[in-house]
Formats: sequence, structure tokens, C-alpha cells
Amino acid sequence: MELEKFKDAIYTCNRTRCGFCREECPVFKEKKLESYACRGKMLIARGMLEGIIPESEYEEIAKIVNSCSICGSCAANCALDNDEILEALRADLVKKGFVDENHLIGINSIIEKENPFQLDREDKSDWAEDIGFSKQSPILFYAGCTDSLFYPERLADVVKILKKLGIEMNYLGSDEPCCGELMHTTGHWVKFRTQIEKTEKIFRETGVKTIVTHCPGCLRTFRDKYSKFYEKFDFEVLHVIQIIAKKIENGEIQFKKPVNMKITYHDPCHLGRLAGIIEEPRIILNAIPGIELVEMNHIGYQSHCCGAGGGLMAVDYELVGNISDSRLKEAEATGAEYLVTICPSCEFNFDKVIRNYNIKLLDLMDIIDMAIE
Amino acid sequence: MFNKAQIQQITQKLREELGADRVFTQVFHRLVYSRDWSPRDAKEAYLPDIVVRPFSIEEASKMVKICNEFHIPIVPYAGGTGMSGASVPIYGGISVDMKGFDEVKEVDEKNMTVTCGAGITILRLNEILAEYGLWFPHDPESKPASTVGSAVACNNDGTFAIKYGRTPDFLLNAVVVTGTGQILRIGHRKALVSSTGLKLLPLFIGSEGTLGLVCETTLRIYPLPKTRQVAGILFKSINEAMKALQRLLQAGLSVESAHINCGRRLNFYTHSFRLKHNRDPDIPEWADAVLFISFNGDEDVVNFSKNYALKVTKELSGEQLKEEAMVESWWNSKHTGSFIPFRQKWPDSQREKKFGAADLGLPVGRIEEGYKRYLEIAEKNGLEILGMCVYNEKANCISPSISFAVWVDDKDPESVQGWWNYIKEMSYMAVDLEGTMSTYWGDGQFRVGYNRYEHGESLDTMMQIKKIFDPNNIMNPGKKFDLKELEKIDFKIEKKPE
Repeated sequence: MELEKFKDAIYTCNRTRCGFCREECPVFKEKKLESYACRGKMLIARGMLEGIIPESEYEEIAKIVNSCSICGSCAANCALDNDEILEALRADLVKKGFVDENHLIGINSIIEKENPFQLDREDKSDWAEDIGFSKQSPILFYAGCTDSLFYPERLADVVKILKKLGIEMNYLGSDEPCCGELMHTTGHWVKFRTQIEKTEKIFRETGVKTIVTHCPGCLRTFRDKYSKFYEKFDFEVLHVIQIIAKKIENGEIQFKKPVNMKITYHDPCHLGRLAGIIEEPRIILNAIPGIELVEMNHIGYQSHCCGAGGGLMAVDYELVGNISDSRLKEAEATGAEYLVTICPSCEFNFDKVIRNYNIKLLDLMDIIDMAIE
Repeated sequence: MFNKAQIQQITQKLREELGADRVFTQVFHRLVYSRDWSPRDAKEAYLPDIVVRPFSIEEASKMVKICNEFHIPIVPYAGGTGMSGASVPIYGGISVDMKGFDEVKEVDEKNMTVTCGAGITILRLNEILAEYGLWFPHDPESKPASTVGSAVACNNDGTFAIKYGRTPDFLLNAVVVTGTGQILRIGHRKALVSSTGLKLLPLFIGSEGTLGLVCETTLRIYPLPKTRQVAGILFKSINEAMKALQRLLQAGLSVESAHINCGRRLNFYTHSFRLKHNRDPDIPEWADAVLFISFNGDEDVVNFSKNYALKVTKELSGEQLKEEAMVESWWNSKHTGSFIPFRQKWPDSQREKKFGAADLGLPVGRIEEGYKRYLEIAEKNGLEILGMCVYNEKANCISPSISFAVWVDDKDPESVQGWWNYIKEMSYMAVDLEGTMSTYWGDGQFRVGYNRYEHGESLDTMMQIKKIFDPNNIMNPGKKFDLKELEKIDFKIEKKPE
């Protein structure tokens, strides 16, 4: 069992029982039942390890374990790798055959079409037709499925901005594979390993050394997950805003065009809490004249999730809606005109309901685009 | 204990009355309600037979009435952070998850009260109150998980109690469901004092779920203080530190918090310091006690108070702790909770052994004696000493509530047995030193049987009172009172004539 590797941590949780993970868990807030909180799931994990729980209940356990956006809030408020333990719990359930059908649709789509949305693979590269890429560049721009299929114009802007900053990149076009994040987070680890090997080979053949992306989910999958499954994967992985923030700090960029906006910034879980990229977006926003940044109560490591991650969208749409509503209420309460984020999944999720709120949605790259000469 | 057919019958009835989404019988749901924060054998798990999650007082009342029909135990479960096993269903029965009662019904700014469901955590309540510039100053370290209801049911400790008191000082009114299912409003609405009737609120404070379910509370609240200053002062002994604190109060200072740690305990409370600086804090060898104090209020008053406190304590041989990072580390631990992300103290410090503490109340003049006895008793029972911390839990006076902590190896049955013996011997010691066995975690599971050493015949009177609220002994059996003793007491409610 994958959970065996985390036995000490699970017992430490059982020993401690502090419950500091509960209150900020977006799912526990909605469900108000201990079994949905991380502390509860740690006892369930122990029950499975020790054979206390009958297998006849595993199907229901899988539903509860899948009712989680793997936002990492429980881990940030703890000292144990709770997000990893929860994913291992999912992996064990999948191994035993307790597979969510909706997850499977997305995973099969990755295998067949290199995206989890059952859309045509060829459409992924439409945005890049008029953009010149450098086949010789050691930097690969990895577009990601969500951006490629739902926010293609954004991608074009991202690449143009980087070009203005003197960064030329390679791009795989319709050969770009899916990172397989859904496979990992939903516990389909055998398939994930196959996806990694395939992706690593493709990347290797291009001769690149660095992967740059705008998608926090892809960033974290490449940066933090791939190497755990496959040591050969040793590429440097960067988020676009890491590059831009560094250039600001080095004095290589100075924004002169004012962007007069009152904004609040939503830290995407995969970028902020889970990847530790918290200062960079703020360095950028503070460098743009005219921007008034009003922070929400929950930011950085304590940011609240939008609900889109962990495959939750596929299993409980209503729950995701409630979680994103809660975050949007917090954003609206700041009195900001715009909610700014930098994650296509957060954006996709907020996009559906933001019309109900007195706030508009923007990607941080949109603001950079407005500010850059 | 109930057989499968009986549990099925009770479950069916509960589902009919409350709805299927309120009642759970799966092993995995039951397993998660099997433990609290108390030290116990790693393998020990008491599963309830059924988990019920009511969302309204009426639902809670219906549930209790059904349980009365079947005489099945009810064990309230809120934050699950108790250290006494109070929320552990040792006789099975029903675990009631009180988190459904988490609504803030009214923030009354004019009368400075808040009315809220008892299942709201103290942290969340304060987040909401902060939007109004208000504050509920009851501040246990467990506040991210522990609820207002558990502050009532366990009468737990708070960092700011030396200025604001604790639950008896905050709780103005409550709506409870008694052990018969009766819905009772008790207390004095939004008035702070009352002389009419008999006082039922104090009976529920510290009742540990043995009388009924606390579902709704009205609490006294305060304006958020504008500023705060914190300081640490070293002393040669606990006694010297206590005397200095007494002097500060005598001088007329309004001290917001006052904790006295022995040298060993300080190590535990400087977890974040050690993580950050990769070394132990620098404390002179002569120092055997640290008095941590805080002041809140307007800047001028706070500055004056801190400076005056430092001047007075210096005259009494106290030396200010220069290492600010250590004071900050203690304050993080006790109040702000702003630990390094992913390195929160509680699980990080519990990887091998479990924190366990006796929570005695001793008269101020006998603390030093109690400290010596603690070292002996811990050693005798083979427990590693973690150190002592003296809290002060009554407003504006020296009011020691002392945590005598040890490490318990929950993988070793001998160590767990040592812990049980330790708590018992420490409890006897407290009574012998003219004090009390418990000041913040209650009797729970652990002190049943020997709390008579403190209460004598009064315990019989307490049991008779319990019978008024809970004639069938279904409310949290095995906690506070010995179930067998309770069953000997004959008490019947006269039914009203038709």
C-alpha cells in the first residue's frame, strides 16, 4: 500500500489530534462532518492500514476522499505532508478498483487526446500559429491543456510579453503532451508514471533544459511530482511570473504605463501554498504604477481555495460552487474592482459565477500586458 | 452495549425523524469519532455505534428523546481537542457532532454581546467579530479547532484570563437540550449579572456533556484592543516570579496575560524559535523561571505598563529576556498561531511521544512544593518531564492554573499506564496541598472514581443534580461520574397529569 510509506505521519496525526487542519478546510466547512476533515481522513487511513474498516465501505470512503480539492490547507496548518498522504490514500483506493467514473473519463482523455477535457489534441496549438518560436532555445514554453483550450489568447500574450523581455522559447505545438496532473492527484499512479516517461522523452528530444509555464498545476506536477516518480526528470521548471519578478528585482524591467485599478489578488493553491510562489506576484503588482492592491484576509499560505483542484470538479460540482462562492465573497468584501489571479483552473472556476458578484476577473498577465511598453 | 438489531432499530428511528443525511453507521465514520487529544494507547479506539449530526436545536431535542426511549448513550463531540477523554464514547452509543451549530445569529454592538451556535470555533468567531472591531477574549491554544460549546462544557483555559476571566465571566445565556430532550434557555439574556432564581448556567459550565447539549450561547464581547506589548522576564525561581506578578497587580497594572514557565517547559514553547534559528534559546543558567506578560490597550498606556512592569520586576531581581525572537516564539505558540507554514508545533513535536499534562489548581503559596512533588511523581512513574507552566485564570488576581506536563510514549503500554498513575497521584497531591485536581480539562474519563477524594459526599449531591437533567444516565456516561454509582441513585421525573 502507498499509505505504508506514511505510516509514521498517520500515527503522529492520530497521536496529536490537534485538529488545526479542520477549520480552514474548504470541504469540511461545507460538510461539517469530521470524516471530511484531514484529521478524520488520517484515522480512516489508519483504519485501512490496520484492516479495521471492511472493504465493503471502501466505495463510500473513495467518495469522501475524492471530495477534496487537494488545496494543501491542511498541510500548511500542520507539519505532516497531508496533501501527499491524501493522494496516496486515493492511489490505494484506485489500486483496489475504487475508481471514480468521472475521473476516468478525464484520464482516458489524457491518454487518447493529451488533454483531460475530451477535446481535440490538434486544437491545443491553435493559439500559436502566428507566433514565432525558437527551435534552438534551451527554454521550452509549456502551454498546458487548460490555457491552450480555454484561454488561448492569454497564452499568445504571455509569449509576446516574454519576447519583449528578450526571452525566446521553444514550443512543442500539437506534440505537447498533457502533464498528467489529474492522473496523479486522483491516484491513477501507474498511468501517471507512463505519462511521465512519455513526456520526459519528448522534452529530452527537444534538447531543452528549462520548462516555463503559466499554469500552476503543470508547474507543480513537473517540478514536484515528476522527480518523485522518475529520477531522470531533472529539468528546471519555472513559472512565468518567477522570471518577470526576478527581472524586476534585477532592475531589468520598469513599468512606466500606469494601470489605474483597485485589485485584490487570489493566490492559487498550486502556485502559492503548494509551490511557495507568494512574493513574486506581489513584487510585480507593486511595481506597476496605478495598481492599488487590497489583500483579502486569507492570503499566501493561508489563502482559501477556489475549489477547482484535486479532480473535485468532476465529482461534486455543487461543492465546488459553494467553495468558489465563499472565496468570491471574500474578494468582493475588499471593495476591489478586479480579482486578479494567475491560474487557468481558478479562472475557469470563478468565471462561471463571477457575474453574481460586484467584482471582475483578470489574470495577472493581463495586467502586465497593460503595463508593459 | 447494544446489539446489532437494536442499533438498526435506533438508526432507523433517528433517520425517520432527522433524515438520512444526519445519521451515519459506517465503521469509517464511527472511527473518526473514536479519539480526542488525550494521551492513550496508540491502538485504543472507542467507536460509537452511530454518528449523528444535528443542524438545529429541534433536531438535537428529537435525537435526545429517541435516545431516551432506548437508553442509548449520547457523547457530544466538538473540536475533539479535550485532554480528558470527555468526547470519547467509552460505552459506545451516539457521537453527536456539534459542528452543525456554527451560525453567528447576532452581533449586538450596542450591548456588546454575540449570540452564536455553540459549534463555532473560537478562531472563526473572532474572525467574524474582528469585522466589527470586536473581540471574544477567551483564547485557548486550541482555538483553531475548539469551539465555544467546548469552552462551556470543559471550562477550559484562556491566555487572557488574568484580565478578562473565562467562561463563567463571558457566558450570559445558553440554550441547552437536557438529557430528557427538553429545550431550556438558561442564564440572564444579555444582562451581565442577575439575582433571580437559581443559577443553572454554572451547572453547565464544566459539565462535560453530562447534563445535556449546549447548542447556543450568548457571550459578552469586548472592543478589539488597539495595541499590545509582550515581554519575558527571567527569575531564579518560580516563587520569585509569582511574587513579582503579585507585585505588578498590586501596583495597579492591568495585565493581559501572565504565564510562568519553568526552564524545561520553555523549550517546548520555543518550538518555532528552534526551527528558525536551529539552536536552543539562550537562557542564563541561574534562571529557573520565566514570566511572560502582555499588556493591551492604547499605545501610551501599554508602553507605560510594560516599562513600569520591567522597572518593578528589576527591583525584584528579574532580568528582561533580551532575545526578542524567543518572546515572539512563545507568543506565537500561545496566541497568534503564526507558526512557520508546514511546521506547526503540535504534530511536529509529537512525532515520537505525546504531550500530557496534569492541570492542577494550587494555592499560590504551595506552588514550589507542588513543583517538587511533580518531579518526584513523574520520575516514579517513568515519565519524561516536559516542564511546568503556571497560568492565571481569574480576572485581576493571582489565580494559578498549572500545567504539569510529561511525555507519554503511546506505543508503550507501560508508559500509558504510568500516565494514568501519574494523573491520579498528581490529583491526590493537589487536594493534599489544599488545591483542586483540575483547572481546565475537567474530570473526563480519567478522574472518574477518584474525584471523590476531592468532593467527598458532595459528589453524591452532584450526581443527584445530574439525575434531574439526565434521569436515564444517557448523557456522556463514564465521564465525571462512575456509571455504577449513578445507577444506584433512584430518581424519577413525575409526569404532569394529562
